[in-house]
Order: sequence, then structure tokens, then C-alpha cells
Amino acid sequence: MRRLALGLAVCVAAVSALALPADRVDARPQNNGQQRNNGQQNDGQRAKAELTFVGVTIVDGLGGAGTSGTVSIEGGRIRMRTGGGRRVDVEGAYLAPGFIEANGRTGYVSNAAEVTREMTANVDVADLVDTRSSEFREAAFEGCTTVVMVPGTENLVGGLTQAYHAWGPDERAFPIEGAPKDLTVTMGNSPSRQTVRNFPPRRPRVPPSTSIYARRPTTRMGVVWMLRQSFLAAKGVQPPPDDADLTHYREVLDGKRQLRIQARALQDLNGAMRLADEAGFDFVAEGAEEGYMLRSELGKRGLTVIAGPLPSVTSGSGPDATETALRNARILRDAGCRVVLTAGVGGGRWLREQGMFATRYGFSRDEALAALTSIPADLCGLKDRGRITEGAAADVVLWSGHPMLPTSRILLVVVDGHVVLDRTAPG
Amino acid sequence: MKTLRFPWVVLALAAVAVITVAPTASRAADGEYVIQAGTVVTIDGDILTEGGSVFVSGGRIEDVQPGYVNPWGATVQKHETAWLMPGLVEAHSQGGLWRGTNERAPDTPFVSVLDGLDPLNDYFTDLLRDGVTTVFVVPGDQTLLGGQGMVIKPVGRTAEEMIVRRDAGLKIALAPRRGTSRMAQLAELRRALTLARGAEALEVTSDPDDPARSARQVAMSALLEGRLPAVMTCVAPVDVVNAFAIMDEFGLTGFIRLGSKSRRALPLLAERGVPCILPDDIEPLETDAETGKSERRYLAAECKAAGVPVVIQANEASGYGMRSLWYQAAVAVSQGLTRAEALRAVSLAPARVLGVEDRVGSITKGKDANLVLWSGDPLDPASHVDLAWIEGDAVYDRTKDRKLVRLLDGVAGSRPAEGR
Repeated sequence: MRRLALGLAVCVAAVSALALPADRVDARPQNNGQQRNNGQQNDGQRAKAELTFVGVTIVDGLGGAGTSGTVSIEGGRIRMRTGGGRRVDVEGAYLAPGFIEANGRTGYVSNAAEVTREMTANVDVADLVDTRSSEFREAAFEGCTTVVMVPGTENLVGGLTQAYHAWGPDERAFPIEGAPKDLTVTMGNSPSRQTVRNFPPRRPRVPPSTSIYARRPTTRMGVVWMLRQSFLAAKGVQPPPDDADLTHYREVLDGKRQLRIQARALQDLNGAMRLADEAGFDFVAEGAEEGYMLRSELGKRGLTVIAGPLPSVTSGSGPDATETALRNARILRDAGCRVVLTAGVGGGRWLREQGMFATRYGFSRDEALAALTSIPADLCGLKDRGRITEGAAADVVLWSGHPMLPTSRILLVVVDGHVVLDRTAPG
Repeated sequence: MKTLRFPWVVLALAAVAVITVAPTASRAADGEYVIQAGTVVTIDGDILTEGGSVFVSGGRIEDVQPGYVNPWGATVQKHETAWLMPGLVEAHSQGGLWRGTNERAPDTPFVSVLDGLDPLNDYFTDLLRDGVTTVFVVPGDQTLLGGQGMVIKPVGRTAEEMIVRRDAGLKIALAPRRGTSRMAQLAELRRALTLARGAEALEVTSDPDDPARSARQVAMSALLEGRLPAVMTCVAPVDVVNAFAIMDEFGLTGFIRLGSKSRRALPLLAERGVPCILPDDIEPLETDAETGKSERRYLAAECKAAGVPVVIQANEASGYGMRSLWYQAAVAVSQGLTRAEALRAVSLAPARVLGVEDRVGSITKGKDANLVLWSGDPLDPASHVDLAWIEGDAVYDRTKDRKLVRLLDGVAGSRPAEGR
């Protein structure tokens, strides 16, 4: 009976592998995760709000200190002058860009990694995300206006990312048109752990969806070896592995697609740097909890690091049992890295907390704000977001005080020109 | 040259001796000193923003005055940019208990955290790092009559040395345990209380200290006579209604620990005047039964609006400052409490509920010298606890906190070069 189930699972896997034609991904940018909304009006095209924030302290998200002024919003854009529309005049209020969660890991509808194969560069997280998830709403209501969703970490190569406006007038998140899609890789324990846990299939009760059969890799060595194979094949140095589509690897090598590597422990960061040098690609490090141990190597490369979230215990936390340091982000920034903060699996709702605690562990308030706004925006190719400048996209949040102080309250949230939360009305 | 060195050493030793002996010749010998800080938050009076001076003598606060003054003629330490606060009071915690906080048997009023406390637990140093100098450690919420909690200070070699108030409360869980109904839970509680009331007459002696009395009866009699407050944990609003009924039927005194779903009972608590401790998550998500949408609730604000004194505990999921007591107070400010109200909710208000306001919770003449010096505004995450005193003794110094160095800078932090 068990053998029959296994055989069935093999068939299913084979069929699903065949059902992923290589050219599918090329059609993705046009689709942009909109299948669910087919036949409906796109949220982004709705009439946008006109507002003028009078006499606010502007914290621009670029790291500068607050300046007092008036900002208006028209046609989904920021204007650094008095405009029309409703006047919002709250004494002592701060206007800040909406936060950007560059490493969104909530709002999935089911398993986040396509674990039937080790390397699934062609799968797209947009097919997985439940845009109606209340976690997006929660994120927006806590000031996080953009979430860049990433595939799960139980695969060696997870797939492609998708950027979302956290919430919109139709009560759901909606994709950001034209936002670049990064390729995600996970090093360390997570991809191999899944394999080891489920192979050999000793326990009959393990659901077959995650326990197909001999999935590689089973060690960190295997993780690096498989990645090396793919990139060397993409360069044409080695023959390609069976049925591999190397399009995205080639795009990474050509500098046309950004590569994110989750590497939390010291040896994984070292492994990622070694691979990058061998194959000749650039990457963004995600996690990097033990990055402080390699500060000069990471700093020399001017590496971008998506750091966090802060651990609740600093020794042996997470699947890689990393030895973290609370000042890791500050240490890496001082060494020359570009640091973006993330709340990780906590979701966008907790992003502000990560920023506030960055001020406890070495960042100034405005530096912490920049690590939640303009810096992740630049990382994710959203150059007109995460800042309050003339002509930037209208992702703004009004606060009762500085957004990096826990005593401040959120008063109004504008996502891409739409007011999604308003607590300024009397009563 | 060698012969010259000897007298120099003697001279140096003599100088050191004079320097160390000199202050002890003054009043400092009696444990008297003055702490001056740029901002002093007394909690029960005005915030002294132009500097304040606190005179400590014999482990107690002898006097508080605005400005940098020293009419008492004692040794002074001055911290002009720092904030001086009373040590915060943690209203409800299971921290520092070694292995397990719930008895499996449902009816264990005789157990006490005294026997489970691990004085060397890291929890206690973490409390000092977060400015907490008093904590109510109490058994968990899974046992009908769960045992006795104590108000303690986070320093001491033994549990006895840590005690501030021994009979601080008996944990009673009103929400049903797994596998039982609310009706059965209440019936069981009534039965235990009725038996204890009846057994009082049958006891061999009425002297509470007589060893011939059963441990159960000692605890239950203390509860029934009001010497041991009932700490009644309520999950649903109905549990609060039931708690009042039990208190009336058996003449119990005590307070309520609210669960996140029992916020609707706040008006009942206001009406009745029974104090309560808010749930650890003061911003819980609540799903609307009709729309199915989750809404965030702001419990400190609701508590204030209902007219119930706000008492906040740390979030149990806290780590290294996150959602610890000062952070919770800051969140309460974002909900609409004034800064004074929020700070009171983590100091004097819990001290009052726990019956230790005569000793802790504010910088007031005659109270224990439990003082915490913050590097800045305690509600700003960028501020740290620099120094702490409990009953006048210096118990924490950030410059000597070696564990903190490791937490901040990691395993490589203590090494001269980068670790590889």
C-alpha cells in the first residue's frame, strides 16, 4: 500500500515537472500575478485621493533629520507644496514614507516552497500569495505600505519575488506594476533539513507532498555543490543538469536579475561569497545573523544585507543555530554594507518594531527609518518609493510623533495615493 | 634606584588608604548617599525636569528635593543627562521558576513559588537590565487552585532573601482546564472552598502556625480569612462575572488577571472597584463575529476609558527589551494614556494591586530605595538602564554587565580581532 502511494507521488511529481514549461516565466511580467483579478478593475487605476498635510514635520526616509513643511498628494504623487483637496492639520504630527518589507513572508495561502524539486527558479511567489490575507491589512495599518513577497526557504532555489502594495481600496493587497522580480536562494540548513527530515520515508504518516523521495541536497556541502553546478552550467563551463532551465541563472550572471541569498551562519556567508567569486555574480545577503564575524569581508564588497529580525535569544536561535549579536546591523553598516531591516516571518506589522529596536542597538532614529524605507526601496527597484520627495509615489504615513518612537500613534496611511486608514477625523 | 622604589610604594599605599578611608569617615559609612539626576520621575509627585536630588539612608528614601542640592551633607553622585525613576514593578510573571509553572493536579493551594524559584535564573538579571526591581512571581493559569505567588526583588542568593511579600496571592483559574467545562470548573472550586470552610471547625487547632494543621488548610484558611488575596485569572468576560460571584459567596479579597478576550468585562470591574492586571498583549486582535474581520483592540486605552486603574505587565513573548515593561508603557502612551499615567501603570499602580505600595512603586520618603538610572527618557528605545539600586544597594551597573557586551556584539565582541 505504501509502495503504491509512493509510486503515485512519483507520477504526480513527474507530471507537475512536465507541466512547468520553460517559457512560462517569460510570460510572467505581463501577468504580474493578476489571474485572480481577471475581469475586475485594477485597484491601481481607481481615483486617488487629494490631500494636503499642513505644518507637518517631514522625515523624508533618506536619513536626514526632520524638517517642517507642507506636503500635498495629487494623482498618486507627492508634491512638496500646498495643494488642493482635504487639509490635514494635526499639531505635532510627523509625515514619513510608508515602510517597505523587503522580505515578506506572510500572507501565503499554503506551503511556501515547491519542495517537489530542489531548485525551482521558475516558480513565482505571485501564484502563492493570498492578497486578501488580513496580514497585509495588519501590515498597512502599522505603517508598512509595501511588501515584497519572497518564496519559502525550504528549497535551494526558491523562485521569484513579487512586490505588493500592502493594502488597497478593494480590501486586498495589489501587485506593483513593473517591479523587478529577484531570484531567491537559500543556503544553510533549511533546504537540506527538509530533505533529511523526510528521507528515507520512515514514518508512513508524513504527508507525501513534502516527502517524495531522495531529494538532494542533504548537507551544506550538497547545497553549495548544486548551486555551483547550475551557475557553471549557465556560464557554459559545464553541461547543464537534466531538464534544467538556466534562463534566470544567466540573467543573474548578466546582472539583469538580482539574486538574494539567505545565508545566516558564518559558513553560509562564506560559501555564498566563494560561489559569487567563482561564477562571477553579485548577490544580496538575507539574514546574515553572523555577518558581524565577517564584517570586513562583507564590507569590502559593499554588500547589501537584509538584516533581521532581531532574535529573542541571541545564541542558537533559528534553524541554523546562529550566534547573533544585537548590534549586528550597526556593525555591518559601519563596515560598509548597505543595511535593510526586515521583520521576516513576523510580517510587515512588526517592521516598525525592528526599526525602533535598531535605535536601541546603534542606529539613529532617522537612519533606522531609512533602513525601513528608501534603502529597501532602492534594493527592490522601487526607486520612486520609500521617500518623501517631489514626484515620489504617494506611500505616506502620518504619525503623532517620530515613527521610530513607540509612543507615537499612527494617524493616517496612504498607499499609492489611496487612503486606507484615517484616524484624523474627529471622534 | 632600586632602593628608592620602596618608600614610593609605601607612600602610594598610604595615599590609597587615605582616599578609601576618607569617605567612610563621613556619613557614607551608614549607607547614606545622594543621587542627583537631570530628570527625576517620582511617580507620586511632579516630574522634576530641572534636576532632582534623592537622599538615601539605611536602604530607604529619606528625602527628595528639586535641583542639585545636598542639605544632608552626604556623598553625592551626579548624573546630569540621566533620568532617575523608581524601579518598575512587574505585576504578573512566571519568570525565574525552574521547570514548570502549573501543577497537574487541579487542587494545589499549598504549593508556593518559594519552592520553585531559581535565584540564579537569567530572568532576574534581564529584569534589572529593563529597570524592574520588583516582580510578582505566581504559578500559571492551568490549575484550578494553582498555588501561592510571592512579590520578590530580583536579587538574592536564596528565594527567602528575595521576598518582599510572602503571601501575595493564591492563583485561581476560572477558565476551564482542557477537557472540563466552565460549570465543572466552578463546581470544583465551590466544593474546595466549601470543604475548607467546613474543615476549619474540624481542624485539631485554630492556631495558623501550628504544625499539626494541614498545609492545604493553612492556605485555604488564609484565603478565606482574607490574609491571602485571590489572584483570579479570567479568560472570557463570563469568568469575571463568576469571579465576583465566588468572591461574594466566600468573602474572598483579591484581584483579577484579565485575558485578552475579557476586555468587555472592564465596565464590570469599574463598577465593582476590583483591581485588575491587563493581559500581556495590550493590543490583541479580535475577530468580529459578524464581519469576520480582525480588529486590533487597545486595552490600555479601553481600561482608562472604563475608569479602571491601568496595570500593565510585560509581554511574555518579550526578548531583550522588546515588549518589556518600559516598552509596554510606551505603547500605552501611543494608545492615548498620558506619560504620567503610563509610567504609573508599570510602577505605583501594580504596587498598589499587589499590596506593596508602602514599600515600592515610587520615589517617596520612607519607601525602599529601589532606584533606576536611565541614560535618557525610559520610553525611548534608545535609552538604557545604566545603574540600579535595590534597598539602597547597587545591584546593576551597565559598564560591568559582561553578558550585555556579548549580547550586543556577539561572540566576537569580546575578542580582540574578528572571530572566524
